[in-house]
Amino acid sequence: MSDARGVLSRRTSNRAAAYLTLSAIAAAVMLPFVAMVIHSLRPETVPPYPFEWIPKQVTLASYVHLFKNTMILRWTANSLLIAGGVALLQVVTCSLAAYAFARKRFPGKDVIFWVLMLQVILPYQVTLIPLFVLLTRWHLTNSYFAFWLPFGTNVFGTFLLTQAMKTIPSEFDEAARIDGCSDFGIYWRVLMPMLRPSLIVLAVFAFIFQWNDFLYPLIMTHSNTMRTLQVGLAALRPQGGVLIGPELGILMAGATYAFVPTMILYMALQQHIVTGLVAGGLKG
Amino acid sequence: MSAAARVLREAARSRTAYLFILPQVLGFLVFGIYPLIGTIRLSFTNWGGLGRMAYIGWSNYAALWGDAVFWRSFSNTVLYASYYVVPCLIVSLGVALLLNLRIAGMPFFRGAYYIPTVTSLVVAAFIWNWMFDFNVGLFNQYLAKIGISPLPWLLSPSMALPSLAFMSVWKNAGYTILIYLAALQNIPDEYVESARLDGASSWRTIRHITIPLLNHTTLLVVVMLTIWAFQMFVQPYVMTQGGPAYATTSLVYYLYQQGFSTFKMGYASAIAVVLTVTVLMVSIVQNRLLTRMTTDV
Repeated sequence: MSDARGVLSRRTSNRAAAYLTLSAIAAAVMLPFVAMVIHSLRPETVPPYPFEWIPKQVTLASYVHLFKNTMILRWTANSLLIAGGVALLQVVTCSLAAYAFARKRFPGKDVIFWVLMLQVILPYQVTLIPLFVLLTRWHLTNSYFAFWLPFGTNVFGTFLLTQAMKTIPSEFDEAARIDGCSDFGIYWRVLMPMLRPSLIVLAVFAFIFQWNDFLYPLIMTHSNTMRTLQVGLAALRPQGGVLIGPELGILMAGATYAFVPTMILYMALQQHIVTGLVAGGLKG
Repeated sequence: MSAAARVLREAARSRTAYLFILPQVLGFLVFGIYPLIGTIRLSFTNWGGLGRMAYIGWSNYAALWGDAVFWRSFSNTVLYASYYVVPCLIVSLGVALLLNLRIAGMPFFRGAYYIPTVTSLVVAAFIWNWMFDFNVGLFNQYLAKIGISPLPWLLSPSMALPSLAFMSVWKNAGYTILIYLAALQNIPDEYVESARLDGASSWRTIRHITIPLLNHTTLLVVVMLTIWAFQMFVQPYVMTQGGPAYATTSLVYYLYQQGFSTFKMGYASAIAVVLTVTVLMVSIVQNRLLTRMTTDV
């Protein structure tokens, strides 16, 4: 009896230790974000050093500066259009391809599928220069098409949706076919609605990737009006400068502003993101 | 009827299927394969971004071979990977094991750890740039409190890369934790329980049962993190400009500088080819190991 209680209390204290550790790590992970927000609210009159976790005064001056003196709203619109457009296009092109790979038999199917997989391994950085040359020749750099076209299809998305579509029993197709549905009808009216969770996963990943991407928009856009939010913000950072004076607050206001949408998106769709990551990560 | 004619007829019957894959295949050919071949082709030219280009054989590669900055950027990239991958694995495995104790509020913790991963690198770079700052940074402020003189986090050639790797653990551990946690939840309870019944301690159970069962996952995660390391760009671009003294110049940053600052497109393409080969090699090694593991078991 006393033995059992001993085990029990040891378990409870183990559990408490686990909670403590996990909470401490969670705090350490989140504190940089808290500091970011505090810095963004700091009045210019308060020196940035030493940093105080509980500010005595707060002001929105840094945000006002950001909206008044930079093109941040335009950059946001660019980012939204680029990321939203890419997400939408990928949902369409990847699900179309997935239908053929999951449901149809056609010559060369396996070969095509495995050749496509090549692109999953290769990061876009390795093809950046010819892509830049190609888009320049087509007069598409510094336009939304420089994003929509190359990123409008995604081999990884096709792979993800093919796997997801294979888990839907083909009896649904048969029933629809008997009712006179064409291939497109089956794809659009039967399978797409059932595929919704996977489509959301793909759209969210495509959106967040494009929203956060930096090197590609840095190279493919050159005018201030076509910058994405990330590239526009990075340009506010004084190159190699010291982080004193007002620019620190402005940078942090910009960072907070760029951080909030991904944060909200993540909170709202956490379950989908986790499922998608695990599916992608565990299968490789 | 010949086999070729049969294939053709079958292909004609499969027209619908081809239409379905057409956008994906076109996208892949035009924006995936064509530029990949273009990279290889350009790497044998002296193209400067404008005007004529001439084929110069292996000259770019020969120049790379003798280019100390290129080697530095290559070794920086490998070092950066090795600095952050192992700590990231250890931290995430520990956290995932704790989370796997069927902790209430697990989604909250998992969410908190994952947030840096969905944050853009530019945002992360701003925050860490300040935290690492020599004069006004948070780290040196606390070091001063406990009487340690300020450290040149990003200012000394020997510290800059480890500092960026430290930041990357924060940035990427959330992903690794998530993957490990999912893998842990796939391990049947009986495995661990039978070891317990045999009298093995928690530590021994983890060491001899759990960790070997996670080998597969560990390999996948290591490859993923390594490939990410080879894409490193934002940290040197925003935080250190590749310095001090090239200490944080990564392969992609060097590629960017050569291609888009000095417009040595041919030379930059040669760097891209090296990057491609390296990433492919990492993937092939992973595949080999995975196959061997699966046949071993």
